[in-house]
Amino acid sequence: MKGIKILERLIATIPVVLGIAIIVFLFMRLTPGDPVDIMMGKAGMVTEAEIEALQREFNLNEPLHVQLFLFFKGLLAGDLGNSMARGVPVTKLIKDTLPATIELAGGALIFALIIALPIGIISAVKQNSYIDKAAMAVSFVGISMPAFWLGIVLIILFSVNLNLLPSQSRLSHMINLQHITGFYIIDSILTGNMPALINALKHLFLPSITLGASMAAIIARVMRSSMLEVLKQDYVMLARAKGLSKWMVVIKHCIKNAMMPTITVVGMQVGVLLGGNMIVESVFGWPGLGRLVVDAIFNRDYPLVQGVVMFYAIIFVLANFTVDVIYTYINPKIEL
Amino acid sequence: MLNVKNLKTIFPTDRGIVKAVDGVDFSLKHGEIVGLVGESGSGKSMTMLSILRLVPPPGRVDNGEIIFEGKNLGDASPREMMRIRGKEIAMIFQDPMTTLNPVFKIGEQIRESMRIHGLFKENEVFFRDLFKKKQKAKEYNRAIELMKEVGIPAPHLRYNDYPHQFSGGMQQRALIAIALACEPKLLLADEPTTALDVTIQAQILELLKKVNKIHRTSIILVTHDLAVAAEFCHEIAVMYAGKIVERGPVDKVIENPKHPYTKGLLASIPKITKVKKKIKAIPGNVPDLAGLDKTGCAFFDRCDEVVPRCKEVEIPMEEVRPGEFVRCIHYTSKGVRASG
Ligand SMILES: Nc1ncnc2c1ncn2[C@@H]1O[C@H](COP(=O)(O)OP(=O)(O)O)[C@@H](O)[C@H]1O
Ligand SMILES: [Mg+2]
Repeated sequence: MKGIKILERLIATIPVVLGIAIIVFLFMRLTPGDPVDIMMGKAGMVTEAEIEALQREFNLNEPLHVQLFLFFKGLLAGDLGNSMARGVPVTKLIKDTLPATIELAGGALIFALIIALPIGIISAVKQNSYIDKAAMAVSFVGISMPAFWLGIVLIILFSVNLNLLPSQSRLSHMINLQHITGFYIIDSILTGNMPALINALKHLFLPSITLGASMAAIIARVMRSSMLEVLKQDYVMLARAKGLSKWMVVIKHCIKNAMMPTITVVGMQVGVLLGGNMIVESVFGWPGLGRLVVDAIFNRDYPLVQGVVMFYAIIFVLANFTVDVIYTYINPKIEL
Repeated sequence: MLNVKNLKTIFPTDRGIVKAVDGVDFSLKHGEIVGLVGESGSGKSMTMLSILRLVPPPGRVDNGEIIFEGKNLGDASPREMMRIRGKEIAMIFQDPMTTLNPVFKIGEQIRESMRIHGLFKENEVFFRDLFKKKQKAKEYNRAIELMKEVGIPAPHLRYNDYPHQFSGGMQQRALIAIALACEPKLLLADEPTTALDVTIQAQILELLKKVNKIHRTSIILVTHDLAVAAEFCHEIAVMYAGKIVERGPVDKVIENPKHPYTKGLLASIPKITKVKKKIKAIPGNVPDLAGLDKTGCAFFDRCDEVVPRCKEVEIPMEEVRPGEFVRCIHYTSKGVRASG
């Protein structure tokens, strides 16, 4: 029953994705002026060959509806065109860099949740205590701190001064790892490669903290305020009257109720983690999607930019969908 | 079994200290039902929560003794209190809608207190029954039994329902089942029928009466409805602005009320038999407890028997006849009313 409803909801996201695709398609084609000029930028030194390649790539010589048809045809076949700078399919580039980005986003998410949930919960239970005030002050700093600055500070501290952790790339050069999934943590576990696992985790450490810091600060605050709300509820009093201790009530009766707003925020932040990590990936030389886009923009590699934008949009839609599904498991009142 | 002496519960607020419960005395015998009657805001709920030592902060019990089965709950450790709550003293709350946890199944919520208090804990050999299958089965069966007892139809199906799938009356029944789970000796029923419509109200009260008869459970029934208390209780205590103003056996209080406030409450009950008699509401409102740090009777401004001395002296509780107590200037030993 629930499975069918989830499937229905998933199918319902298809029109949204189509809408996004059309917007992405029209964005470059309906802007006044010559699409080629817009795409390449007037200031660039554009060769005849490049212009021709671009016109071929986007079928610019065809009428608009034919262009749209060809665009969708490619999309359905999983074809986002070819990168102009690298000459390989955009989907291949995305597929190759995606594991690195997901691994980093996962690290950041785990870091944020491990730090933020206990802090938010304890701050709420011990409202107005010194712990609470200190935690909220730190989280305020966390929210306002720019990622590139935090990343550089962490590199100077832990890599340069203390020489404890690596600051660039995903794995040291002398480490050999057989690539199976592209996720280094998983690959090293699958192959039982202990040195590679430790090395990959070390590399993941600083970028995860940098990327997860502001998210941790936001989650801690959201968790705290929703927990404060939950602690006022009558069912908390009932649980106490049944004979549960204060902390058991928090753990058993409150957290599940307080998770709702937190999951909303996490869902939105997952999009940010996957799409907004260009800075962190650049600072830490992390070969992921973020750096791919930065390169694409500098190279005026329009098919690549368009493909990645399309991909980001789908990620956001899926993140939203996942949050909706998780809701129904936490709160029985909510149905899909 | 329960003896409350000079109970004071206060809330420090921006506007001064609120004396939510201000020197409350009463006692309760095994198998007895006492009604605690008063308008909303008079401190009834806080009296109940004080007994359980669950007054929400910043509120706290400031003074007084609560002797339950010979034990002063004021001296009990947090751990001892946890053993008493739900097992010895259980509470039924006012608003069933918000008192059940929305994210857990009704049946599981009924089962919980049995699990907390180890009602069916097996003396098991280590690891023999790691998942406590036997214990869980017994708890489940008892939960089903309880749901039947409180009148929830199709308990096997309803066990897996969530609170929002229950009607108000059914939610209140579930709350009663939760309270009864460990067969408590004392039941604190805080306005158990206020949120319900009249026919369901009567059913719930019948149910509580049955529990009292069958299990000899003592009950404190909190209500703002004197008619309900009159029909249901052995003793009645009338509360006003944190103080008990009159207390005694139900027939004495109903037939011969002494405090003007009790008289006012009685006059405001609509009587079906005497159509002609006018229903009189008590004029005015319950005083703001924050500003209430003055001597004298808190009811003076709404009272039609007021005399100047009402505001001048602290009025003690007076035992006018054995078991009958009144707190009124007209009944102090120095000035017992000739007609009283
Ligand atoms: N959180 C609080 N802060 C300040 N005062 C409170 C608080 N909770 C209750 N009170 C005071 O306690 C009084 C008694 O409340 P309560 O016991 O709930 O009344 P009742 O149950 O008789 O309607 C209220 O009139 C209010 O002034
Ligand atoms: Mg109340």
